[in-house]
Amino acid sequence: MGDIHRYLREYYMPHIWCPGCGHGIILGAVLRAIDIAGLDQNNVAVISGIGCASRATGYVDFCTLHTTHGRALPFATGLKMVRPDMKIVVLTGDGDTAAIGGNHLIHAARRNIDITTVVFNNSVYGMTSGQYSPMTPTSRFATTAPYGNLERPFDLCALASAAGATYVARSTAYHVRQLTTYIGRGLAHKGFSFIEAVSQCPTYYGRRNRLGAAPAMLEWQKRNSISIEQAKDMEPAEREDKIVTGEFVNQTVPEYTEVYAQLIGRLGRQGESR
Amino acid sequence: MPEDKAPVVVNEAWCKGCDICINYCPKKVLARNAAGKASVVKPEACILCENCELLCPDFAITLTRRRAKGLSATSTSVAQKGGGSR
Ligand SMILES: Cc1ncc(C[n+]2csc(CCOP(=O)(O)OP(=O)(O)O)c2C)c(N)n1
Ligand code: SF4
Ligand code: SF4
Ligand code: SF4
Ligand SMILES: [Mg+2]
Repeated sequence: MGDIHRYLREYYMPHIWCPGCGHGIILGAVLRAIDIAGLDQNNVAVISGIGCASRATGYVDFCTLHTTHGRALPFATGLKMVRPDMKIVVLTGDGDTAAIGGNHLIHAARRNIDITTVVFNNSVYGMTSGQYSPMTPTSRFATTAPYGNLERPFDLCALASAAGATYVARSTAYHVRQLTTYIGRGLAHKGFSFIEAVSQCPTYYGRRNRLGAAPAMLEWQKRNSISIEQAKDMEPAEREDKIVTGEFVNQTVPEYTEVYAQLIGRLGRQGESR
Repeated sequence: MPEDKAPVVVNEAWCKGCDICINYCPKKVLARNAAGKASVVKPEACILCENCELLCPDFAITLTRRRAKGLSATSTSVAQKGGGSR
C-alpha cells in the first residue's frame, strides 16, 4: 500500500472537519481503495454536493467537482456520459443523498450508470448545525427534533437496491478495513455502486444524543453493528437500533453508458449504409 | 527505512487531539502530550498494526515501515485485528 498523502491537496490541510469527525476516516478509506485499485489519478473524477461530507472534494487531488446541494449525481451522470472512460466517484452526505438528492439517487441507480457513490452517513445535517435528516433514527435527538425524532429513517441500502443499484454495501468508520474492501469492490464493479459508510458527528449528533466523544462514538458503531447473517436470525424489533453491515447486492446488469454507446454505434452503421 | 526510526510519526500540525489513535492502539504506543496532540511515547512496543493510521480522521499519522506481509488496509475490521476497545 502506498502513501495516500499523494492524493491529498496538502496545501489545504488541516481540513475543516471537527476533531474526531468520522468523515476523515471514510475519506481515508476511499483514498486507500483508489490506491489499491491502482487507478490513474488523472482519470478519476471525484464529485460531491454540499455539506460537511461534500467538502471532501476540496482536499483530494483528482479531477474534482464540488457542486450544488443534492446534485452530485446529475453532474456525475453528465460527466460519465461525455467521458465514459473516466472513473467517477461521488462523495456525499446522508442529507445530500437521501433528502434533497433522493430523486437523483433512485434514477442513477435505476439506469445502472457506472458511478461509485459513497454516502458519509452521520444521521444528521452536520454543516447546518445538526438538523435531523431522513437518516436520523426514530426517537433520536437533533437540533430540529428537541423532543426526539418522530419520523422513521430510510434503510438507504434497501432503497438503493430496490431502485436498481447493482453493487450495494454498508460498513462503518470503525470497520475501516471492511469499508475499504467494499469501496474497492464498488470501484471495480461496472454499474451503479452504492456504499453507505456510517460516520460520526461528535459535534452535533454525538452531543445531542450524549454519545460521548469520537472514540466512544466509534465504540458505539462497533457495539451496534451486526452482519447480514446475524440480522437474518433476529426479530425486527431486535434489529431496530442496529447497523447491518455487509454486501446486499452484487450483480451484473448492462451498464448505461455502454448501452448508449451501442445505440450510437448501431445508428452510425445505419447512417453509413443508407 | 532504518529500524531505529520511530515506527509511526504524528504530524502535529494536522492532529486535532481527538484521541482516536490513542484509544485504538493495542500497545499504548501513543499518548496525549501537553499541547493536546498525540505523540509517540513507547515506539519499541509498536506492532505495526496500522490501527492508528487507518482510524486517524486527520491524515496525521504515518507508519514509517510496514510488516513484510503487510496487514492490508482491507478485509477485516479493527476489532478482528485485535485493536479492540479498552
Ligand atoms: C439548495 C440548498 N438547500 C439547503 C442548503 C443548506 N444545506 C447545506 S449543507 C445541508 C445538509 C448537509 O447534510 P449532509 O449531506 O448529511 O452532510 P453533513 O454536513 O452531515 O456531512 C443543507 C441542508 C443548501 N446549501 N442548498
Ligand atoms: S459538524 Fe459534524 S459532520 Fe460536520 S465536520 Fe463537525 S463533526 Fe463532522
Ligand atoms: S501501528 Fe498499531 S501498535 Fe503501532 S502505534 Fe499504531 S496502533 Fe499502536
Ligand atoms: S487520531 Fe489523528 S487527529 Fe486524532 S489524536 Fe490521533 S493523530 Fe491526532
Ligand atoms: Mg449528514
